Amino acid sequence: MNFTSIAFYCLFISCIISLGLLQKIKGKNSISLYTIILVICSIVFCGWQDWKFAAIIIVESIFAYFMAIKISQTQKKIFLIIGVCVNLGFLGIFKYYNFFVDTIGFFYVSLKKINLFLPLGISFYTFSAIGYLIDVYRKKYMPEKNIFNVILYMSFFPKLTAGPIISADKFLEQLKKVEQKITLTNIGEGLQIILQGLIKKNVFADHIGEFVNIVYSNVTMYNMPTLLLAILGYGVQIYFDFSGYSDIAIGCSKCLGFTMPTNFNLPYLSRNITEFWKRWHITLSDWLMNYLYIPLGGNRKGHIRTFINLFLTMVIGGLWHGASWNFVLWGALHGIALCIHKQFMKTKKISKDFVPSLPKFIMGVLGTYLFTNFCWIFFRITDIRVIGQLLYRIGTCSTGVAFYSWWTIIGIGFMIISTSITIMKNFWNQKREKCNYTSIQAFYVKKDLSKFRNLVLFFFLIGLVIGLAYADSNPFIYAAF
Amino acid sequence: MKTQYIFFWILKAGIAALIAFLLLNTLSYGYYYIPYNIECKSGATDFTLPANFSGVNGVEGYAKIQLDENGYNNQMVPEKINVLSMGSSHTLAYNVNPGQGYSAILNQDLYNRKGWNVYNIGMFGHEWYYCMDNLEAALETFHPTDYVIVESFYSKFELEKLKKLNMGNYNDAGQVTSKTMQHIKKFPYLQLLGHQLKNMLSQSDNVEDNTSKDINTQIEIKISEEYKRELEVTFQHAYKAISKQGCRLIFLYHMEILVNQNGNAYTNTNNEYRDFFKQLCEKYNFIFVDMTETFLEAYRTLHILPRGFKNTKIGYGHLNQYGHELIAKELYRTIINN
Repeated sequence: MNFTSIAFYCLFISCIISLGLLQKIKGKNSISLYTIILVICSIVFCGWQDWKFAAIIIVESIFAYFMAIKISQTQKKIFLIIGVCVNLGFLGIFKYYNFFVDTIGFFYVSLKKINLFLPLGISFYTFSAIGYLIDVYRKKYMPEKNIFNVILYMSFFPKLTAGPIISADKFLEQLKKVEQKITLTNIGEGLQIILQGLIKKNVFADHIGEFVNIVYSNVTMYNMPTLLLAILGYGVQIYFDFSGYSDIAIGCSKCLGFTMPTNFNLPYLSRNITEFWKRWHITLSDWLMNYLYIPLGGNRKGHIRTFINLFLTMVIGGLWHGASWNFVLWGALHGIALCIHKQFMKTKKISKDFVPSLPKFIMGVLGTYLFTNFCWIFFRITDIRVIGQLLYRIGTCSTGVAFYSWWTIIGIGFMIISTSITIMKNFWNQKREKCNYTSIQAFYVKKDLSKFRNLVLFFFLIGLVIGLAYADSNPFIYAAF
Repeated sequence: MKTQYIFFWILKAGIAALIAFLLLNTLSYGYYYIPYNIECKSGATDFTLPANFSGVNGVEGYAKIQLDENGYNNQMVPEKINVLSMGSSHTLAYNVNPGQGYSAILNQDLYNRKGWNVYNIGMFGHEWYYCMDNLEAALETFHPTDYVIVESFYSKFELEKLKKLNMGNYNDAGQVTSKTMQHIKKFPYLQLLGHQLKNMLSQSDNVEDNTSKDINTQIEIKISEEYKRELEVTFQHAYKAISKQGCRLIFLYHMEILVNQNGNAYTNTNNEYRDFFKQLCEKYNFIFVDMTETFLEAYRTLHILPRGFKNTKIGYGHLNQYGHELIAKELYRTIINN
């Protein structure tokens, strides 16, 4: 079941109706029933494709529940280590075992591969579980007493497949609020956020994806401008695909009365690679910083160690995306870039609050944009020979078939226009006093749906999405992780 | 009070949805508005399209559609037809603008050279079998004086279909659109929704791609005697029809060009079947125009592929502008040299 399927919307609507009716029941019990309905819906969502997916997440959730209580009671690090290792073990077996077998195969050690399924969202809920255990150990909050709340936190269906990754305390705090969650305002806002996600994913990302798939399946066929367009196209595709997914997740959560953290904040408007990781997959960056980079020592153990920690964090972050060396390479490239940027900032004695001049800002944005698009090549193409062919053909301005995909050009144009509108709105909000273009924030368009013209626009956009959506199957990119 | 509020909100939403629908419909006139099927009394094609229909096709390529008074894709109906062009949606050429289809280009070139008229009765879904089935009726209806072109995108045919064709039991290429559906199809946005639904349900490529995978296979299957006999019977029927009319038959064969990982182009044509087809053409004095080499050469020298569009996939789907130009040139050369 995915966010663009009819089955999902049937489940979602049923969930909202059930919870809306439940809201009429007053008293403590209604919170527990609220949780149970959400858990049931989440388990159905998770187990729709394969019941084993649901079984695994329930097992991991129960394990996390009991382990958190044990950690809180004993405050012994050994239980934390066991908890983290078991969770990583699940991830390691399902996702990385065969990769491990292939890798050690290079050293003439032969192990048998196992034919295992990849449980839906395992990378994400494993991180949620590990974060929960570490927070409990750090005494950030007390372990949750209600096992259903923990199961819900891990399996909450809007965020199950690909995040956003939210900390347990923030989620559970919202869950326990007694006041009305299913409100017309929330539903109205949520639906509009979902719609924005569907435009990005179904209209643009999927069409661009078709073009990128065709070009990357045979790079020797196309001319240099087409290959360049495919590289830029993939950058737009992955952004729209993943941010569109996040929008749908955030929108669905909003309809259910939950506020999820923002996951994307105009990442291609970043001046440098450090800022990029504060704008791209924000919740993952935060998780890596809090639970990997800082425990490794962060920047407290000297210069060299800081670079090592940074590099390792990015390599592990890359590997988390997929069990393949190209993801490791992608992570390593970003790690190196972060180290270089850090050193540059230190050498030039530039403070974090520094606001560059507009030309320098534009250069920084362009440079970061081109670098991240270059790195996406390694993210997308698993075969190193194909990467070599692609770069060679671009470098030698090779001739070939010209395929200037309209959807890709329109998609890039849409991204530029929507970013420009966002910039203008930010400037307008700042009342043009101090045009601080470094603090531009993305926003969701949320109109009052009680107004007639807004309703017309809303239905018009829904119709446009249905009419223009790519009708073939094109799964969410991050759902594969 | 609350009930009243909800009732008025629902009413407001309904009217808003209706206005949104009308806006979408207006937009869709410029994106996707294609004709529906109506009865063809002459039998030249299994169905035709509404006379003088004006529309647009923006889902594969972007082209205006302008049909003539017979419901075919021609700028006008000439008094005398020298060349009749029969075929599928490739020949119908609804993915390229009027005047860019191979029949239209050929018409222009032959008119300038010889004062000849080419008339296009290409129709959705009318693969080679349907064209052969309708050949006699088409000749009787349009009386081409010099040539009739029958398009095919495969050279290996299905034995069962050949048998059906020879017995005169060949199926219709498609249903005439019912009156209800005709009214529904007058709303372009509903047509677009239908198109989207069809794609979602099928989740497959165009007919021609499937055909090339299915029929034209690189696995060299030995040609059977029964196949040879059935195809010859088909040719005999065609020969009879052509002789009555007193014109010549041109078989136009064009196929998908594929490109391997080394950047080299190839086709999935089954050479044995194609050569047999060619032999039969020589025997019955039909002209066989094989676009294989022309398409391959165009890829090698100019890096162009005859099918596909910038809003779909290059190399797949219907003939694009380049494909039509190449075919028109080849047909022109063939006709002039003959």
